[in-house]
Amino acid sequence: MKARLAMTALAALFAAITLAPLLWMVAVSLMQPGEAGRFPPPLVPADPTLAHYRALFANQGMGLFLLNSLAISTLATVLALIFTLPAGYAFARLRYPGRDTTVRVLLALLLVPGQIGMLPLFLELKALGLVNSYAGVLVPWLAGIVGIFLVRQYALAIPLDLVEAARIDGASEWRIFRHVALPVMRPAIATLALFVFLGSWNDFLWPLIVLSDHDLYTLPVALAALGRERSQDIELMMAGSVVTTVPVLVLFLALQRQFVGGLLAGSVKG
Amino acid sequence: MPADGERDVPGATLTRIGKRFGAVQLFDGFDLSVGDGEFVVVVGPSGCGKSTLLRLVAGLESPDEGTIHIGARRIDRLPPGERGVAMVFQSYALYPQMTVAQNIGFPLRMAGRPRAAIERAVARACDMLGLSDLAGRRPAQLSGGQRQRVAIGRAIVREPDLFLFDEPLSNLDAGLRARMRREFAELHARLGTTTIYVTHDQAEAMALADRIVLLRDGGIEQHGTPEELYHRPASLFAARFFGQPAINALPARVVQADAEGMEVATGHEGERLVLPPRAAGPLPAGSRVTLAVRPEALAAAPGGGRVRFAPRAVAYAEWFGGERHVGLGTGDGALTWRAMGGPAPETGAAVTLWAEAHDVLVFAPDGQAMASAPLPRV
Repeated sequence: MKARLAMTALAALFAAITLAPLLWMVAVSLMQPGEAGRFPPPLVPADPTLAHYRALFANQGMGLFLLNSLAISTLATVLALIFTLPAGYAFARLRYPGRDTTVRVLLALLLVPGQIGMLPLFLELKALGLVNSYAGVLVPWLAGIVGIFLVRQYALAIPLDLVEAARIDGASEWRIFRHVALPVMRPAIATLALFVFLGSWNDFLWPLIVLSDHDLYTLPVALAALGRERSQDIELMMAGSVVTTVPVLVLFLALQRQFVGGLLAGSVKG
Repeated sequence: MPADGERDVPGATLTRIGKRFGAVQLFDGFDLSVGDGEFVVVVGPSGCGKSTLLRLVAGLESPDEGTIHIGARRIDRLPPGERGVAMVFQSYALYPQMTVAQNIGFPLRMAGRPRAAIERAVARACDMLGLSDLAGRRPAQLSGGQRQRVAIGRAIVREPDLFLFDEPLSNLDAGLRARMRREFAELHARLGTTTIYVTHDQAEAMALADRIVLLRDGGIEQHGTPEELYHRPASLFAARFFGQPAINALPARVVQADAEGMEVATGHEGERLVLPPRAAGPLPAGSRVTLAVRPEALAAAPGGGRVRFAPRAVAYAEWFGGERHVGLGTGDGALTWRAMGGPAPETGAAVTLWAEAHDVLVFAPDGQAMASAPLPRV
């Protein structure tokens, strides 16, 4: 009992440390211009205002960047699911020559830092005419190794009996994937979707490299540009940060339930 | 489901099957023929190839050599779904996100049957298996026996030519196992579909089979009716595989043998037994043989022509209500006696047992049975 109490206290402490900057970000975004720069910095806005949010959307084109980010992250998620799920499943549950070698090579490639690939990838996309377009931003998300590996590990837990029973029941490999494997893999799908959405939403470096057209900017890129222009305007910056952070927080809370496993319960033995 | 047994029921034939796993040649020139409507139980110790046999027929493994036919139709090159076989797995392998009705209807859905036909077939199968009230449940909400029935339902809706059962009862507790065993027997009596049933449980095999196929290291050790395998085992391996408590096996040495009979000495305190002659002719004196006698073939009463075992001290007695298992003697000379009724023998007391001569089996040094010579007609 004592140990549990201590654990709870510790968890609460860490939660407070993590949450404090986020809460202050929201507080500052609601302060009057210049209020956050005072000393000591106030924790709560004395006279809350939404002026900075209005300014963001009316003067800085934040609406467009928000739409850009939403579009890119949604597309990245959908495309990643389309390519990654069959790949991960095939690596786990189909038998063909060279399968395990391919998996090992892919895993070895994980050791190569992503930044090393950025320049060659940029040149490649330039040759293909995909620079300064959504397509160029999306390419790295199509079939990430980590995602494929995540799906593969989850698919390995699908009982072989289930796949074989479906084969005997006359299901084609595609239908086994569609009707037997996918429903069982829902937690993995949710994890992968969230992972890709968050990753592409928060991604800064790659969109910065690929996108030169201001109108195509995603939120993080736009926010950085805003920071360069208006570095004194802390309250405006914080409002921009809130707009960038809140959608993914909402998404995370919405999908949280999906992570709970137990979908396999009752399929075999029990 | 077949209409009152009017359906043509084909058998299955495996011819010269070869199957290798890496360096291990599991099957080599393996032949098995299952008659029309026959219920064949394949038994054997783990690793004997019984599950692989089913997987080869189902199409989950491909043979390296040989052919598999159902009736006149060659199936070994067909994908599993086109072979006309249905399989029930040890783990049941139910689709977890589907209801009972969806699970049972899945093969028909995959075959592209119209929705109304699927619903009719599923309703009939549910009715037959007592699942009608559970049709909307998911596998996680069912007991082990109910899950097993759903798996059977999924197998029978397809009206397969051949049923394959892979240890379907081994995940159930003892009472439920006995009940499901009878349900399998009734189902087979009703549908008449040719069945290959794999188990490692000798009692299950004897209770269910029209014919038992005993596998050992990828070969057929013996096949026949349960009675044949029990009473006339072809080898010491077969003799030991069936029966609980296990058959008594006494190492012995031939003292002398001729056309009249044979005298053998066991390891028990100079015990000499006189047995009828063997059909294959007398063995030279000194040959090592193994005598085997079923625990229930022993009796404490002498009788005309019975073989008399030397007295042995009672080591233990276990009473099971209705029958008593008595352990006698020690080491190579130990015997288990399955006694029906009678007073409990005291530990340490000497007991003399007899057995009918034809119940004392003799196995050659290579483990093969030596049948007794036909009795001279009087």
